[in-house]
Amino acid sequence: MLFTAKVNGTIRAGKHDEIVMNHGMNAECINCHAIENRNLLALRFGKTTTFDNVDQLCAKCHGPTFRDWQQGTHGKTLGHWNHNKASSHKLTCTECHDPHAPAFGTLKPLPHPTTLRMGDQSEHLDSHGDEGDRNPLRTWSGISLQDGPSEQKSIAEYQELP
Amino acid sequence: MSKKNKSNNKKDTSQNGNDGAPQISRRGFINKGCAIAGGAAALAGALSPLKNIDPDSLPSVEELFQKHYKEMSKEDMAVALERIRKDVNKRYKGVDAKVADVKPLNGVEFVYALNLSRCIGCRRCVHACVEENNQSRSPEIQYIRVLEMPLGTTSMEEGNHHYEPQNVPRDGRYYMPVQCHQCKDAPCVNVCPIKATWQDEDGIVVIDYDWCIGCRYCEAACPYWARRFNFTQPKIAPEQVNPDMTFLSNRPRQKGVMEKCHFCLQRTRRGKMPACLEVCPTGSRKFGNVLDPDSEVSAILKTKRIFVLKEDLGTIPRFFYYYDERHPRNNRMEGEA
Repeated sequence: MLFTAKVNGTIRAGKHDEIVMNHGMNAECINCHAIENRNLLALRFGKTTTFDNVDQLCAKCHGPTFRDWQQGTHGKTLGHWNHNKASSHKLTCTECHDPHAPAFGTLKPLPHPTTLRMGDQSEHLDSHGDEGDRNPLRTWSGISLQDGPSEQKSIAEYQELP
Repeated sequence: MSKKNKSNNKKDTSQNGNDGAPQISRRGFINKGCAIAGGAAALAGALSPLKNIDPDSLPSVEELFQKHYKEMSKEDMAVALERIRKDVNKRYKGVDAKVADVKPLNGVEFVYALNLSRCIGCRRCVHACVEENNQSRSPEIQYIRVLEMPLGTTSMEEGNHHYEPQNVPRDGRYYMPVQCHQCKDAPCVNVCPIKATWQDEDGIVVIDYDWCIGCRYCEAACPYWARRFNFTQPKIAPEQVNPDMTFLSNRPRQKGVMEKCHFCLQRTRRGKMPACLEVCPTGSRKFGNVLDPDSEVSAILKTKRIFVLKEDLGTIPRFFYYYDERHPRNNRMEGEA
């Protein structure tokens, strides 16, 4: 490994210590960042592209997923359901995946269906001593994919994926 | 003595006394009194639920004489929308609702597709739907039900919707959200005795909440358990009411009517995505117009391995499940992480 080092079992960049690499076999910075100008992304055959075309970079290795993404079966499209309309916005790769640790983590599921939640709707402790997150009148909390439980979010904010 | 009192052969059974005035014996008085008192008590008992009537739940005159949605003229609809707007403002203090009637778009038939390889069972779709569509919070109504399924079966009866682990997805299981499939040959539509529910031109099965009598035949008929009934007056906190409402979709319902997923028609008929799709963190949900050959859902139906639930019942759903053949979850060997 050229520019990375294994520290306590995790792969870390020599500089940029804050980045934790968890991209499987892809453990070298220069696989994606053009070695001569790290403000550009490295495509095949020495070609480079800007960060606006990050899908071209990911397609370098993830061809079938890229094809699915172009078709619309992979990934997420917001806005209009007719993707020919201007307001239709297909999220690019890095709008969902952290390029250094792209695998999604696990989430805590929101409450299951029950008709027993009637009556007093104030905060209460459930049998585990946790906060009353079984309380349906409390706004649901958006939990980001990489972080743990976070502050309350509205649906509009939740569209900004990490 | 007896000869004097015998007037004729007929037995004198009246209670008339010697001077002809009607008299009642003590036994007769007690009997009649008890009968009258018992009858009055029974009547009072029978009428006692009336004192519990919530005056808000009584229909207004306009509501009583409102026609079926399909027979309403533009003026009738304007009157109804205004009534609903006022009713929402009264029921939920401070909510200034915009109530409209959104018609289906031409040349559009909606289809929903869901990628089972991507769904992790986080239930954000369930609660986003509850927020968007003004469902009762207490008791809680949820249109979408996410089933935690064991590998190897797509039978809904094998699923568990009460799962509550600390983290999803759990190994050895996959997650299948189920909501109304807006079937082309919907059992709920066929079974409604008064045609309060029908399929609109764009494929969405809608309910006229003011026409529904709450017999729940549709709830019994639906093989996907997609229909929900309001057993009590729905309760929503005013600050959680979504004020952007339409007549056939997310205006607040009353006690005794059915409701179900309607593909967020207040959003989709205006060119937006349904709330469940927008909030999904893994992008498992796909929605669009199947009559458009360029749409995402057309591509999915053409290229992906899709199935529908309970196909043998012939309901012809427009909700398709598919999965990615190369996804690690499908290719994982036993014991691998």
